[in-house]
Amino acid sequence: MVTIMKTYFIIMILVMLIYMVRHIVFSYNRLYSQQKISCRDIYDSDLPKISVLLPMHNEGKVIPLIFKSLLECEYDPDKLEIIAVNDHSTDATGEIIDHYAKAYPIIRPLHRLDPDQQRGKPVALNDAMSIASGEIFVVFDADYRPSKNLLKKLVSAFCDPIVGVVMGRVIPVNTGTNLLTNLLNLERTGGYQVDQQARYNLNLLPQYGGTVGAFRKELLMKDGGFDEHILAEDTELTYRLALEGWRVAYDNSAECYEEAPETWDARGKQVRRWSRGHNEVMFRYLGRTLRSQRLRFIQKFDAVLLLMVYTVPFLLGLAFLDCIALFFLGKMSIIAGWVFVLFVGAFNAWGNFAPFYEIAAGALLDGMKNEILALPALCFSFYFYMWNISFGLFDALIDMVTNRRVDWIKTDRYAESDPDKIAVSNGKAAEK
Amino acid sequence: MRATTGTTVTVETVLFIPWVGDVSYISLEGATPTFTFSLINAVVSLLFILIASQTNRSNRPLMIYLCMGLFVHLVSSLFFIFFPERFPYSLADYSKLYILQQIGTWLTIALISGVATDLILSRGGYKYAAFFITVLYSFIFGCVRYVVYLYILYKFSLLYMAMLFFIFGVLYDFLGMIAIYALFVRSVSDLMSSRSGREVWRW
Amino acid sequence: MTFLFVLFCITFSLMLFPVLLGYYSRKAQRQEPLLIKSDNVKDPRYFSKSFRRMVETSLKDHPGEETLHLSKDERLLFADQQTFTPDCQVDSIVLAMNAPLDAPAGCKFSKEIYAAYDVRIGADAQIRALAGLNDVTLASGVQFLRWVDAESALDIGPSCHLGISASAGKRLRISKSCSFQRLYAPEIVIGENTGAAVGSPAETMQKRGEASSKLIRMDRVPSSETITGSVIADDSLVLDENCVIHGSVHAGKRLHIRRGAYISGNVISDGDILIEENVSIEGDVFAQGCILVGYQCRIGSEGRIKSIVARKHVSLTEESIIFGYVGTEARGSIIDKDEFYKAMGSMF
Repeated sequence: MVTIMKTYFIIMILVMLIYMVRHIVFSYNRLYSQQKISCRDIYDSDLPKISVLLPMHNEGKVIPLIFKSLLECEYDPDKLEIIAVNDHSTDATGEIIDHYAKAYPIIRPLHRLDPDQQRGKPVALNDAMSIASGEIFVVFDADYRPSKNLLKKLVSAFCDPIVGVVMGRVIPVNTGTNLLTNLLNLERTGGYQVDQQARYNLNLLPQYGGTVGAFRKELLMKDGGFDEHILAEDTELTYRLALEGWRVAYDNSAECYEEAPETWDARGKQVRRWSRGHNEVMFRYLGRTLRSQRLRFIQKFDAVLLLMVYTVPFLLGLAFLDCIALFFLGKMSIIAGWVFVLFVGAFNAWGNFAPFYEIAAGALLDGMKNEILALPALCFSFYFYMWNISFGLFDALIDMVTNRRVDWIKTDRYAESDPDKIAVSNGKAAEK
Repeated sequence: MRATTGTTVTVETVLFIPWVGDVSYISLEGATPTFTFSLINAVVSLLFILIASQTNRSNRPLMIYLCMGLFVHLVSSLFFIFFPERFPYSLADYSKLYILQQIGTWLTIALISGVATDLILSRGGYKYAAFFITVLYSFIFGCVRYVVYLYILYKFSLLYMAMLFFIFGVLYDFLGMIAIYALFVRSVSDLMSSRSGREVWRW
Repeated sequence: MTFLFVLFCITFSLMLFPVLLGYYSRKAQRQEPLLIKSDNVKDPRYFSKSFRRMVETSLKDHPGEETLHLSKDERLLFADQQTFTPDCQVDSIVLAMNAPLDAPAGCKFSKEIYAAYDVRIGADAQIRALAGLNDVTLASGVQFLRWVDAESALDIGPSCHLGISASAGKRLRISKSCSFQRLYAPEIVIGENTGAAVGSPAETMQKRGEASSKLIRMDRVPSSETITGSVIADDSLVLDENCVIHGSVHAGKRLHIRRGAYISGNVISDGDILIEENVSIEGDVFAQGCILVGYQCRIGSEGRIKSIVARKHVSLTEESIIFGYVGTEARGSIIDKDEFYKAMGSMF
């Protein structure tokens, strides 16, 4: 028993070491290696027809803003349609959509009001795709504010015939609200500015995040659309297409503001949901990824590490309990000094703190100043994530064992985004 | 060496790494908790866990971290309630483990800090200053904490050993390293956006 | 006891230090989100349009003044009242509002030029930037620091250095030994004339529609083969002579397109692209490495805008034609046939 316990935490040391090396490699690549250019610099008069899909549930507060942004987008209106899906909303979402659809022919409403219909983003998207006429689908959540040239940037990636999905960069707009939003901003910076871009540079697997992204219609329609029984339909799509040989492109310049959760409760629910969905995808695709003939070894390796990202915190928690048990069993003194140190150091430094390399590199590239000083607070948020991610993993296990149906839960929205306030404050930021 | 209470304090050695040699540590006797003391600690830990988990919704991470600490303390208290004679460590053992861990931590921090600062800035005084301050911070912190924790365990109870080891242990060495690292990155960011530092980032 | 107390305070302070840092970061200044320019629109002729707009607005708001109110006040020189001598140095913004502008050889214009009529720039002149509202003709050896734009036709003599951007509203002709970073015009002619064939847009549009959904994995397309679908290679890819691809092409490494090939879609490579002579590509050409375009090639088709974009060097050989945009993060150059064969030999 003791041998098993010791073996387990040595394995966890190795796992954390692998993740640490991965993050250092990504950080180094982003800072010093040659960066891949994206297709955004291409000028092409033959743009494909696109359908912008907006799944909405009780988004009455923010709909006018995204409509305004999309209507001002620089894209040939003859090749653009916007399908706004009212998914069982109980507020004024439906009325607002109808109002805009009447005024602007490129906006098409789709009301899903039948109480017997399944609710949720994947189902709403599937219904929207069945009536969409575009070759490329672009998905935004309702609280996003795409810039004028964002659609063109995303769509230009599909000039490459091997690209099946493209992902842009998400930037929290409410970063200054409280410590949580500040930390989320740091995490996003590390995740997009460094991690996603490095994976794109190295021909690994950037991840489609479900919004500020686009994909080819034909690829989804041939498989019947999104899997309606999975929470992380974006991750599922990423792996589905990657294993079929399609590439996921990432465009770091295709930036869009998002609203980050402002309370720890909301963030906890969000992380738990992501963990549940991601682990569902992990159960489904881990074996397939390992057996894939399409992916090179290094792509497969990184794809597996990505799949495990919402499982490792739970395993680290188990390792922590393992260590406590070994402590009370009096086995600490039997371990040679350096091996013991390896675990404790690894636990606190390599696994816990591995993202810090990426976050620091990303913060530097973004020109952050005082925001970066909140980095130590991320250490404590690791325990928060470990807690919620573990529950998400349990949810996913129960779903798998009992075939439980997933009920879609939307992240809470906060203050209405005020575009003028954002423009003024950004203008001040630019002047500095 | 004798403490004023008459406790015997000696300096022992233990093998660290075969090719490096021995390291020294302070050896003294700690205070074993009584049944009542252990019970009180267990009850208080449990109470705090229940209270903390229901309140403090504005700072969940800190609450979870504290609950973990209280959980470790609860386990330790229960251990001393039910199996006091089986507690495997004396204060001397803790002292030895601490020193082994701390020296390894110093080496690890030096390595990680070196890699991390070199990644951000490949040349220049800032990186050496950050590295030096980090190593110095870790060294001073490790030493003063050693004395303070030994005193707590000697004066109060071995009951606190687990919590001091797991919750208030190496994590804070790395927290300090991260804090200095954050200051370093901020300084580099200031440098790069200053007139003299503005240069094309060459990819 | 005092000693222990001091040690305790030091320990406590050092433990609190990282936490206090986070508190300071919140209090120091209000954190703003990363700036996204939401009204930013890409335009290959942005520099010229932006400059022209500023000049026209300033002239309209302050007519008759000899100062132009831009981001700072700039002195004006009205070219209509001026005769430029060879090798002269001009340190004001030049406005040519009522007559064509003739700048003799060797002139140095350290500021921008705005010309409402035709412009002729003499050999070896050095100019910061030029916006012409009609035709612009550059003699040999002209150097631009920033950009040059013509609303109608831009004719560039040999050995010119074109700064960051050279663009035209209708047609751009560029001669041998010129260097550039970006070129844009609905029609870009490389060299004196072009022998490149022009394909049939209607036929290619239909074929593209048929081909888009099919991916074919191969690392070599045989000579004179016709492929309906997009050709994908994880490593290098060779398209042999006179093959026809009704689709796009993607190579994981190097891509070599041999003479006479025809591609109806886009050409993408994660490495270098070598395009031999007489190749027609209807779509875009994009490489993470270098692009070498041979002579008598055609990229794009009339009435449409396509692009050649490379991470590294772009070389365009004389007698080719490009409909749209050429851009590189390094430098681009115009070469002749001999230089093309030399470059091809060293590249592949």
